[in-house]
Amino acid sequence: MSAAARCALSAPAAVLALLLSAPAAPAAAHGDAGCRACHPLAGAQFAQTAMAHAAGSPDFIGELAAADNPAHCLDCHAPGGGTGLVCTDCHGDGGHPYPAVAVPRGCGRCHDAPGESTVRRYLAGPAPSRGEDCLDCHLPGERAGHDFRGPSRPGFLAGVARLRMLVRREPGGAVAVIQVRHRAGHALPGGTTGRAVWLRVAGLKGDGRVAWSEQVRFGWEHLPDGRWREATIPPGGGVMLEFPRPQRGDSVRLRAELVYRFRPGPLEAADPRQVLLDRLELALVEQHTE
Amino acid sequence: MADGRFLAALLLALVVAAAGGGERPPPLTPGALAEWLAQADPPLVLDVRGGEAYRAGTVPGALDAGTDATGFTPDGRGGAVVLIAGASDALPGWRARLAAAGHTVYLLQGGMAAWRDAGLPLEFGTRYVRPGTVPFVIPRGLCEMNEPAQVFE
Repeated sequence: MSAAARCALSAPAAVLALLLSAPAAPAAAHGDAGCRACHPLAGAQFAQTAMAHAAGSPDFIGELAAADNPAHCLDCHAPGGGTGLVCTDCHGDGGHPYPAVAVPRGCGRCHDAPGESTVRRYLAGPAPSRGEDCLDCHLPGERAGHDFRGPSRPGFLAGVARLRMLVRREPGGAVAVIQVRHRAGHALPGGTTGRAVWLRVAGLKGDGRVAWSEQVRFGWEHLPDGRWREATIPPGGGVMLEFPRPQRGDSVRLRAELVYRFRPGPLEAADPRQVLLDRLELALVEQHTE
Repeated sequence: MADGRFLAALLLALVVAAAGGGERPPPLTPGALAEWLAQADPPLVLDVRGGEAYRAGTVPGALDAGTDATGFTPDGRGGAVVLIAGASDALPGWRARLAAAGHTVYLLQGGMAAWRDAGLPLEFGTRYVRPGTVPFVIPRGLCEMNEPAQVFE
């Protein structure tokens, strides 16, 4: 289908046409059917990954429908057509024997593409100096396998981020300091625009009611004017936040929660897949009262 | 494996340093702290020199804990803490406060002067985040332009 013909369609119809269109290259040169005959385990493993369905998720289809030029989105989400990646998208069209993917450069083609900073943030962080690369976390223990895992895999996010908290006394009153650090080799959240990590901080009264609360979202934000803003948590030292007068509203405890979410939108919107990364409470002792 | 070798060396250095005893926390050289901070489980670093000195340059990732140990409340999670202190800071008070909260306390040997002299990186409050911070804005349709994100950074 030509670009002009795609433009002539309504947005949902154009999206559908893009997703269903067959790859331009011959199947023998681009695809996975031939690979699976001799590599059935690799094929079966990869079929279960998020990459194999990168163009099939409801979130992506929604974003694709809103894009002005959705064809470029598919350069990474489904380069050969269909609803996700296939073998030759990463291993190339050079024919057998196909080379192993060069990590992290091979990942960066898409994971440093517009709307992502995953590989760039990895290269600028401390993980390379520790000798760690993408596969240490995303393909642990089986670097030749294809069972790539990420945040959507149950348990993958366990222990990935940690909160630290303190309250210091200053002449003008107490100040609560919260630090968010994580063990990911790249910024958190990695990946692309829809995912986010939320920090929710609340001062609690003696009876447990919320006296005050604040939320901070880390991730990519789609601004009202259409631009994107990156506010992820960098690897290494993480980020810090200060909350003056945490005892306001008769608060006696301070609670901080860190939540990983897959769906865009506010924290109050339902996301059945969200994961609580960490939760911490601190008693506001007498020396901090006003 | 690299983690294991580093931690063994660190443990040996700390045992030797701790053998000196006293109320001052055992020292940790700037180089050892920098290497520890690059590990996956770095220590908590507390700067107890006061806000002005903290903002003038501190160890990356360090938290401003104030100058008053009696007005300090830890989060109760314990673990290793490295203190950044000046010559006049009340180290015994800080050590006692943190040890009571379950922390193992170390002192940055030579303070920030030694850290600077070692050519190690400084931070000036740049990790603080407020709602509305704009660290990186890219134009509309970047993905659709098919340009690398770093072109716009």
